[in-house]
This record gives sequence, structure tokens and C-alpha cells, in this order.
Amino acid sequence: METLTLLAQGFAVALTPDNLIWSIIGVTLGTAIGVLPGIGPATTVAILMPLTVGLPPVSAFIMFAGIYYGAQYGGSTTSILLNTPGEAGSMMTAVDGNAMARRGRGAQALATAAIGSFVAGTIGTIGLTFAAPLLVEIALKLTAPDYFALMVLSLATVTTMLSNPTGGGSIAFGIASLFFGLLLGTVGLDPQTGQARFAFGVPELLDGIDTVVVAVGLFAIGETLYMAATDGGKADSMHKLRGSFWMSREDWSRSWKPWLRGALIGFPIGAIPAGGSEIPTVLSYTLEKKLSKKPEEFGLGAIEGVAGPEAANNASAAGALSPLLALGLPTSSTAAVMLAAFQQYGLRPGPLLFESNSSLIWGLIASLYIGNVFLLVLNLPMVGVWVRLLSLPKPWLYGGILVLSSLGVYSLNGNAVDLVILWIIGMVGFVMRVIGVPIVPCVLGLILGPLIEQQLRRSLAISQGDWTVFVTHPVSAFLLLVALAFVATPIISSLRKPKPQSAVGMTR
Amino acid sequence: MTFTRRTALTALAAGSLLAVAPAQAQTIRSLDITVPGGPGSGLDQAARGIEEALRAEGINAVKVNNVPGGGGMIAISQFVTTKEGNRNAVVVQGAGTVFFPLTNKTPVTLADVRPLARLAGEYEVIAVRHDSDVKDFKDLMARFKANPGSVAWGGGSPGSTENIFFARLAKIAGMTPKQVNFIPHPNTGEVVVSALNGQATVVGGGLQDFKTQIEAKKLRLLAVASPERLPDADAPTLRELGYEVVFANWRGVSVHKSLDDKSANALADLFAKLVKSAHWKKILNDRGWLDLYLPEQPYQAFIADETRQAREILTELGLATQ
Amino acid sequence: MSAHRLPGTLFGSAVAALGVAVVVASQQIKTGFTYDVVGPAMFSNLIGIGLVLSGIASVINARRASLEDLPDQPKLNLWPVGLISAALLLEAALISRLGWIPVVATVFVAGTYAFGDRRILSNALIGLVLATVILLVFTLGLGIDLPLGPLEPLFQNDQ
Repeated sequence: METLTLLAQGFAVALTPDNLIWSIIGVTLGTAIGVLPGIGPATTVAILMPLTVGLPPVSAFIMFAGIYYGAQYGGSTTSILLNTPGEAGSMMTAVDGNAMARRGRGAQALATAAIGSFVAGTIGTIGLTFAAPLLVEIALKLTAPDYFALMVLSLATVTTMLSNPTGGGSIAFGIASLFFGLLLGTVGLDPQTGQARFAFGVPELLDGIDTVVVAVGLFAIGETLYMAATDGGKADSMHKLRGSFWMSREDWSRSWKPWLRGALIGFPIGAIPAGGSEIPTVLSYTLEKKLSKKPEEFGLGAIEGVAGPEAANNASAAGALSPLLALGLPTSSTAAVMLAAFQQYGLRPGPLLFESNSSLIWGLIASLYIGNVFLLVLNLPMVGVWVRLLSLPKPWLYGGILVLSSLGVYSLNGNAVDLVILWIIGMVGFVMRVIGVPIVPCVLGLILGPLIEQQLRRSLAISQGDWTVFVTHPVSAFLLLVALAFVATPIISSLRKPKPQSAVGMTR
Repeated sequence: MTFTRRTALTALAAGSLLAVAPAQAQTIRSLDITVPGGPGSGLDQAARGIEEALRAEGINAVKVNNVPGGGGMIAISQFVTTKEGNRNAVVVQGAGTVFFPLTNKTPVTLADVRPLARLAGEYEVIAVRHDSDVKDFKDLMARFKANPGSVAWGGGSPGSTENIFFARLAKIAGMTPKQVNFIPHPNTGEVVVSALNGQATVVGGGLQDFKTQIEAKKLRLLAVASPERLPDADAPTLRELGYEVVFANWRGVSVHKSLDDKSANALADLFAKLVKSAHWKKILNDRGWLDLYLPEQPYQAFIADETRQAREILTELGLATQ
Repeated sequence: MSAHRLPGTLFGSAVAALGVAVVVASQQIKTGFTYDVVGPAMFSNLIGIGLVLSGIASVINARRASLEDLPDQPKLNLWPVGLISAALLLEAALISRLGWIPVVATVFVAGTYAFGDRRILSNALIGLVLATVILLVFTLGLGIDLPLGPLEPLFQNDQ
């Protein structure tokens, strides 16, 4: 097959000693920066891009490939260990990953994330090699109603996350959290008409509230405040490692299917323009919870809840490269930065580049495989080192979290208003923890709300007010039905079950 | 991408002192550029272009500050407060910087700085999917006039460049701006997607945005909004087609209002020389930008004119504040 | 109303009040765009209504809950929260004037103090070193400018 020949040539390019070194450097730097909370892959690639100036294009891109995948890996480390997701794609990992870390199973969480990322990255890169142009053709058949339905489906899966696994919350709390997130999402300029909403004349709010600020605020700051309020007096360390370091047989058997499923969800959705990495991770998490034999573990440290979303995240990163390489279309902010990198060299990715500069493109793809391997080799042994981080005494650990959170948030835009918002959201997160309100629905609302709104209004503008569009487009209709099923099943099942407490409640 | 601050910190770290260049009457030896956009944005690219060209001319002390957000107004606000009397500071702006305050109440606007020179930019172009059954521009406008809602016009942010551009086309065709079914997108990638998946009947943007797709025969140009035909675009100008519209996504620089004429003129001379330099021309060529140089007076007149026209249209669209 | 119901009730009421505020604020949003049948106000109205309903539901749930339903409420010590909050707000207020290093070091010290570590001086030193390392790595190595505060004028290059 011609593709295999081209791929082989790509490997020939990528496997030269020089390029291997660039790959290792890229991978290491990408992971190092990606580890910092609040600094996600897009920022990482943007930051490190200047370092590649002066390199021959092939080497530069091989380094980029390393940085790109490395940044995805790095994000999961802070999510799991410090409950500080670097970007929205790592958020679901933080939920069960950090729970595992608290129970002394941080090493296993990191390991399953690393291996899952490797598996998914490889699957994703294979998909990129063979299926990119085809996938993109298919993806371009989707239009606004289909996107709307996909996002509604993602939001509907929130119903599985509405109750607080540690008990003591009602669904009403979860819904309130969700709507609060939706509210945060409306702050700023309305995407369809440019009207300012809830900006109160503050120019910094016109761009809306950044997801990173909310994620870091709710997860990291909220937790820091909560721990300060509850355990503050005791300057001991936490997360003592329990038992072995390695993944047990049970861990492996519970992880491998989520890895595959996560990859299969992540890659196609990553390839869809506007797919993003949040949607695949949310869908993967929900799928794993539905398929698991022990769904009640989710939220408390179920390894599937880490394996699936991490795989989905990495596969979607590979997927996002498909429209970029095949058509020159950047569909994620990270891809947009990569595009800028291409342009710096005067290259235009797209179908023509495949023909005119195929050694570069295939060298890039080959180096994705290689980078993936290096990442695994680099990260697995590091697990031991990272986990030691958790045995730092709490004061230093949380002091450090505060510093890193400030860094992550301030480096977004360089303005202090973000720090104020960070504090406000941190306080909200603190209160939510005290009362038992789940946090994830809030962040999901923030991310998905504006997307849903934009796709809805866009669909209706194009159809000139015709609401049946959502039903006449087959993909949209199908996804909406699935979404309906998600929302309806808990309601139906709770109506069927007799309520044991109701008698008591009534007589009070 | 080196910053003088970075160089200076290195010097400090090495324990040496920073030497201050002797003040010379009116020769500009360094430049401090404020960019109302993040790295990679259009305005940022313009600033980097300026930086590159200046370095090639031997002026190495160029610092670029990115101050994104607030539609560019945060940068302008910061510039006004911190660069008072600074004879080496400029702030970049573009069409969007002019339009944004017209639709949103902001504490500052472009009127709070002194526009100095327009430098470069791209003319707007109109494209359709290659296999679209819209045959040409005349066909497009005929469809629009027959059934305005059926034509979905894809472009960038609401109330900004393409929104205003399409509205002007509508007016010339005898329709009202409100009849234009404008589909906004947060970035050019999504605009291209909307063209390719057919949900936008037609899209507008800079030629560079669509070039890859045009070369790959996925998109087809209908018309360009330039005074004469563009060298690398095979499409008629709107003027040829009877629509008197010239519309560019332009970039320029401004200085602080507190500067006296001598200082401002020194900077103006710097830019006048810059745009004539061979290196600048090479940068324009590489990036596909056009030389749109205008010195201070015509530039300010241009901005005033654009603002007036945009305000009219935005009011008709119901998007203007005030 | 017994103490264990108070948090939920307060929360629910706050949410409901927020919802009402949102609906009221939404009335200010301009509508009436030709093809945009939904308009910018509809979503924010819906969100407001959603907040009101879920707030009310939370209150109802809180009142109905029996003692066994609730998790053990740990005792809350609020002054560390206040300390960290003050540090973060100070950071926001002073970061551009004083620069990255002193402000972030303060945050670090506040954090350690809030968690019971009273060794202010040594933690301040650690904080300063940490902040300086970050500054050097980011500004020198990565080109992301972190504010230098009063040291800024040293590094301006004007005439």
C-alpha cells in the first residue's frame, strides 16, 4: 500500500540520530511545561515554538510533535496529583484520578494514564496515517444541527454526574451547579450578535471567563481552601503511598478496554471541527460508568474513570491533527498554534503539502509514533518521582499549589482580573465542597453552554427559523434521541422505584 | 522572538550593568510595540513583521508586548495609562479595533490615541465552495435579492469586518443591512469549515485565509474588494462588477496623544522609511500582505471615514451602542 | 430549623436569588435581530429560571432531609480561608505594581501559615526562591513576561 511506503520513508527521516534527539527534547519539554497547572497543550506549544526558530523544518516539526503529545501527557499529572487540571481535557481525569491519589493509589492512576495515553496515542496516530483524509471528508458532512445535538448529548451525560458520590447531595444541587456553570458561560460577548452579557462594563469580562480559571479555581483553589479549613492545623503529609507502586492484575484488566474505547471515541470526535477534547473525555467517562460493574466507585477512585478519559484525550489530540494536515484546517487552539508554526516556515498544510512536501509530513507522522514511545519510556519511571511529590508536607504542597495556580492563571492574559475571578470561583468551590455540591457539572456547563447556544442559533439562522432541522438531519436526530434517553432513564427509574423514606417524610 | 527585557535580565544575572544608549536628538533607536492581541493573532503578526523589518535595518531594540482581550481596548487602555510621553512607544491597530467600540461600551476607544500611519493589510474576498451552484457574484446577488434569508453569509465576529462588509454590499444592491443573514464565527478556521460543509452559502475573509483551499480547488473566489485585480487571485473586483466597495483588513500604528509634533514626526519618518525598505517588501510578499501605507493626515481621515460608515451600518443593524 | 439543614437551605436560597437577579438583568439585553430567532436573551432567561427552580428544589430537599442522609459535617476553621483569600486578593491588587516575586512569595507564605507551618522566615525564603526561579525560567527561557514591578524601569530601553 502506498501509505505504508510513505510511512516507511517517514520513519527513515524521523529515525536519524539528530531527529531522535529533537524528539526527545520536544517530548521532555512538552511534558515539563504541560505539567504546570493551568498551562495546557496550546499554551505549551505556543511558549516553546520560539525555541525551534532556526532549526531545519523537519527537525522543528519533529520537536513540535514531541511537544504536542508531551503536553497532553503532562496535563494528567497535575490533574491526578494536585487536582489541578491544566485544561478542560484533563478535567475528567482529575475526578477519579485525584480520588485514587487520595487513597494512596496515585501511582496506579498515573500509570494507567500514561499507558492509556500511549495506547490511545498510537491508535490515534494510526488513524491519522490511514484515515485522515477520509475522516475529514465524513466530518465535513456534519453541519450545525449535528454539532448542536452532539453537544446536547454531552451535556445530557451530566445526569450521571449530578449526585455527589461522597453522599449528601441531592440532584437539585447538581442541577444548580450545572446552571451556575451555564451562567458563567454566558458572561462576555454573545457569539451570535456580539452583545455584551453580564460584563458590567469591565473590559476584561468581555472575553468571557476562561475555562482554565474556573477549572483551577474550583478544583485547586477550592480544595486548598477546604483543606485549610478542615485539616489546617495538622502539618502532616497526605496521600501516603499504600502497598505497591505498580498496577495490579485487576488494574490492568479494568483498564485495557477503557483505553480502547476511549481511543475510539476520542479520535473521530477530535477530528470533527469543533469537536474539542472536552466532549470525548466526558463521553468516555459516562460510557465507562455505564458499562462498569461497579458504577458506585466512580467519583471515589475507579480506575476506568482515569483510563478511559485519558485515552480519549490523547486520541482526540491525534484526531485534531487530521483536519490540520489533510485540509489545513485548525480545529482546536492547539492545532491553530501548530498551524502558525507551519506558517512560520512558509508552509501551508493541506492536500497540496502532502504532495509537495511529503517527506516533511510523513516525517512528522512517524515522529508522532516515536514521540509516543519516548513519552511512555520517560513517564512511567517518573511516576515514582511524581508520587513522592505527594509526600511533601501539606503546607508546602498547598503553598506550591497556590503559587502554580497563580502562575497558570496569570500567564493566560497577564491581567490581574483573572486572579480576582480565580479567588471568587475558588470561594465558590470551597462552599460547594462544604455543602456537598458536585463541581464537575459547573465546569461542563461553562464549556458546553456557549457551544450549545451558538450551534442552536446558527442552525436556526441558516434554516431561517425552521426548528425541524434538528429532526430532519439524521445525525442530529439520532444524537438527540440518545441524549433524551440519558435524561429520561434516571427519571423513569426513580419513578418506578418505591420511595422507602417518603412515608416517614410525610408524617413529620 | 527576543525581548530586550530578556537580554537585560541575562545581563543582570551575569552581574554586569545595563548600559543606557545616549539620547540622540530625533533618531529613533528603539521601539516599544503594544499589541492588542495574543501571540499569533493578526495584529501580533503585523507587529512581528515590523520587528523583523526594523532589525534588518539595524534597529535591534524592539520590544513587543501582547495585551490581548477586550476587543483590543485593554491594550489601548494600558497604552494610554503607561506610555505617556514615551517617544518610542506605538500601539498597533486594525479595522477590528475601530469597529469594536462601536458595538460595545468601552472606557477607551481608538480616539484616545493618535493614529500615525497605516501600514499593510489584505483586501476582503468573497468565496464559495468549489462545487457550489452559485455561479458567480451576479448570481449570488440575484439570489440574495430574490430571497435574502436563503443566502447564509459566513464571516468573523459579529459587528466586525465581514458583517459590515456584507452590509455595504447589501446596501448597494438596494437591500437593507438587516436582510443579510450573517453567520458569525469565532475564527477563520470555522469560517472555512462552514464554507466546505455547505452551511454557509458564501464566505468572506482575507485572501490568505482561503488561499490553501483555493489552491486545492475546494473553494472558489467570486470577487475581491480591492481597487484593482489582485495578482494572485483570479477574480473580478467588485468595482468591475458595479459595486463601489473597497474594503480592507488593514493594520496601522498609533502613538500617545501626549507626544509633541517633533517626536511624533520622528516616529512617522521611521515608518515612512520602513515601508520603503526592501526587507519590509519581502515580508509583505511572504505573508501575502499588500502595501497600504498612508501617512498621518490621510490615515486619520481614513479612520474617521471608516468609523462614520461603520456606525451608520451598525446602527441600521441594531448593533451600535449609544 | 436544625443546624444540619441550614447549609442546604442557605445555598438553595442564594441560588434562587441569583436566578431572579439573572432574569432581571436579562431584560436589559437587546433582542430583535432578524434571523436570530432565539436571540441573546433567551438563554440567559432560561438559565435564570433554571437557577430559581434548582434553588427552590435544593431548599425543599434540605428541609426534607433527615439527619442520617447528610454526611458528617467536619468542623470548619475559617480563619485559614480568610488568610489565603487575603493573600490572593493582595496578589491581584499588587502584582503589577510590586512585581511577581514579592507577591507570589507572600502567597506561598500565607498558604504554609494557613496549614499550620509557623516558620514564616524560612517559608518566605523558600517562596522567594521559588518565585524567582519561575520568573527566570519563564521570562528568560520561555519569553512570557511576568511583571517585574518596581524593577521595571531598569529594563526599559528608551531615550
